[in-house]
Amino acid sequence: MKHLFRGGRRKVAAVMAVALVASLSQVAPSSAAEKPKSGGTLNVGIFDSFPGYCMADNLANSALMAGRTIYETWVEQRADGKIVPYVLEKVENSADFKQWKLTVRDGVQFHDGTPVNGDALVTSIQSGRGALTLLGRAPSPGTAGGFNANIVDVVKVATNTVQVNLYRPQVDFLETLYASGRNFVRAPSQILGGAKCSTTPIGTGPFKLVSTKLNELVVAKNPNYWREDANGTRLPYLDGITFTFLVETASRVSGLKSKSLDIAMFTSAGEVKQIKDLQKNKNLTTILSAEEYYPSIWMNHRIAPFNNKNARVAVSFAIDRADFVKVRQRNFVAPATSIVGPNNVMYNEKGFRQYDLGKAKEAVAAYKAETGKDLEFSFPYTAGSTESLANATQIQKYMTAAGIKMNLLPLTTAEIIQRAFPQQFQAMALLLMEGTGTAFIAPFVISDTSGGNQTHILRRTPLAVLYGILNLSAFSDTTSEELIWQAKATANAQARAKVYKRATEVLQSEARMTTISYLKYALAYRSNVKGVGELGLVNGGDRKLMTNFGIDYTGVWKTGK
Amino acid sequence: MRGSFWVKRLAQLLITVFGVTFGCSLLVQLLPVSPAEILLPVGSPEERDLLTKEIGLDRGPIGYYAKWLGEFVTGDFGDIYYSGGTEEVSGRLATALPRSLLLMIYTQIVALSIAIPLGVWSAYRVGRRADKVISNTLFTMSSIPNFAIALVLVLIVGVRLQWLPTLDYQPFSAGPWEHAKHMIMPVLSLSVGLVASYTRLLRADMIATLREDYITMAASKGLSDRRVLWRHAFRPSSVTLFTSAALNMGGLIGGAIVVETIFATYGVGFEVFAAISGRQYIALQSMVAIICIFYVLFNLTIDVIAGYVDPRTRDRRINA
Repeated sequence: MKHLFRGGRRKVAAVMAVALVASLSQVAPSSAAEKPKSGGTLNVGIFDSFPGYCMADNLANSALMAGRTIYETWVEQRADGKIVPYVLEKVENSADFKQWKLTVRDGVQFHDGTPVNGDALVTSIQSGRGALTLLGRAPSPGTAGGFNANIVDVVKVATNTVQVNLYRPQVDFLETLYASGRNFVRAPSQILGGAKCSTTPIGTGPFKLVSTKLNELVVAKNPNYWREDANGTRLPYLDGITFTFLVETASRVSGLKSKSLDIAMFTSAGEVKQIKDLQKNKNLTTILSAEEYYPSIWMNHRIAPFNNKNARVAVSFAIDRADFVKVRQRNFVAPATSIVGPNNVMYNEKGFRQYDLGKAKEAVAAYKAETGKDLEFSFPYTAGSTESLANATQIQKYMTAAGIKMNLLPLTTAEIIQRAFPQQFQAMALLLMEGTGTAFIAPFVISDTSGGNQTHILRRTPLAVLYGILNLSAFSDTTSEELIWQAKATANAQARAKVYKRATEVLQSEARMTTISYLKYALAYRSNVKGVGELGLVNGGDRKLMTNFGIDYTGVWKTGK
Repeated sequence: MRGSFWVKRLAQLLITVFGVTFGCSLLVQLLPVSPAEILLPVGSPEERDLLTKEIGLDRGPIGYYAKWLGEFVTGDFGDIYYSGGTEEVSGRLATALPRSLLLMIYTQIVALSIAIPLGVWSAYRVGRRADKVISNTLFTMSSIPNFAIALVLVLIVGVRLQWLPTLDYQPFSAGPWEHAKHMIMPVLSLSVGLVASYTRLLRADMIATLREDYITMAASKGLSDRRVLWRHAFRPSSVTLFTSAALNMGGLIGGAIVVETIFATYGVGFEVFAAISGRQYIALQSMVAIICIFYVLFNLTIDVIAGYVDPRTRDRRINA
């Protein structure tokens, strides 16, 4: 193994540390000396489309950035990772972390003029956990139902205050409420609006909907937005933004260079060459997110061959992660050393199987001895995407070297998602886990997100499938799951981290899934774009400058053409 | 006689449209899973049953087709299904269709405006240096795919020279120049290949026509070369050219997807692609029907025009 890493673990760790520091220290050039100017519009190129705005229409990454100009979240994440109230004014919890009192900020209103109050918060939480779906009042919550399954009930206790009761104690409930920036403050009129829920987004954000299509979102300034800057100027500064889905990377790059676009977003998943090129361009500023996105290879435990541990172990050992990062990602990101990255509280190298061709072959032989079959599986990739095919082919090369037959399966993205969530594939690569905390990790490695609550509202309904639908590897591991719930009930941060790390070790030892490398996102903008990352959060503290959902546009302004 | 010609042509048109749309509706019926499951992946069984009834999938292939057709002819092209609601396909097409039609019309105007003089000149100078230069250049042009031309234009005209925007579409109401600025590069990308193809078609027909006895007669009467070429040779030589143009018009409506994607023009081609990748089969069925209708209408139009351009064609068809 050592010779493949050219310097051993220490060097890899050093490279990772440098990369981590570099990514965390990425700051936008300050325009603090200049006075923000109101007016102007921006054109932004993104790589995700807009499938809709209802609870189950999960906007992906760059489309999420666009969606977050219309919507805000009840809580926000600071640059240091802490979750703090945002549209909420105040949060209180019981000593056992099973009751959470949430108080809504006064004076905030939705784009339709209705106030944000306790009723709106109850509607939001009830729709997110599927209660309104059961009553036939709102569409299905989709995967959000799984995220919110630990909620037993939510009741309004004052005009602006609600109490959320949990089944299992959860120290990090606010992370669940944040859902990595996805749990929007939606207006009841949208949630209960029937057929228009997906097509008519109504939020509290700095911008309002003008028009939306699959490939475009146009938003205009919300004149009644609740936030002001330090000088008392009502935000936002911009008159409007047009987000355009540009599937071709070249279109986003040329759009920036030809000034057709002011801002464009990219991902290290397949656009490293272009990101590096943009970083060299003196007319553009390129900012990067931290490597806090962990694409996994999910191995379906329900069906052969991955219902056999040897098969999972063989695949985990067979992947030459350093080579993959070099060949496919130009060493732009770090090869994985755990199922999550070093910034995550669950990060633990123990039990994680690094590349070892000899051990991979041993596991293949053990699989054959046990089952009498050659190790063979199919692996989907996005049809028509050269990047997806190239990544899959590279993995196929490693499998072939270990004596594993990997059949490539071309599918559309929609088909991949279609098969992923009813867990109908043998193995697949999908980016699900992300962040520094566990709210966007745990639901993917737990078989019952209700925590075993037998009286849960969805228990005897078809929606009960949502408890485990996010666990793409379709496994049930009482040891790791109990450790995760135990960690969630542990108040002391250090002790909690220890328990989480033990859970990771168990997951890795059993080879429930594996990771090849971590991802980061990039955003490039022209010199006429100012104020990126300069507006802090309402209660003080900075946001993360750049994430998978790009930047915040509330304090962004434009100068000149 | 003429009346029966029209009846026959219209009957052919209707049979084609029915055949294509019924074929598409059969494909929806033949899907290995229920379309309701695909359209509502996180819906409850009750919601799926309701959708199955709403679409008419519970009525069998003929019943489903009859329901779809009845709605289609009244302008209801079906819905696009989201997890939390629907959007009318007609709304999407109302945005996309004008873009595609304008792109197609401009492309044809540009391609024919260049190809006709080139083809006539090339045939007139057949075998000479001008003909060889034009033929070789066109041969090279026809071998370059339109997306490659698009990327080169983006790089040179958009990025290097910064003369034209590389993305987006602006309607004519945004100002003629603003509209033109956004259309020039997509139109040029699609036109180059067509210029090559049209010029070669016209050149070949013109060369054959120029060998006809009546051309020799016209020339011997002392008519100028220009008059012989344009009045006597071009008209009968242009039937193949215009037939080809009509076929391309139909094809361009839904087939310019790569160029539409590069320039973010997003017309019908993109909507078809989005419907396929989002497995919106009902929307796809309506979009294919629209493309089919335009395709056969353009063909009918060119049949009529061909009859006037060259009466021999009309007579042949009527007699047939």
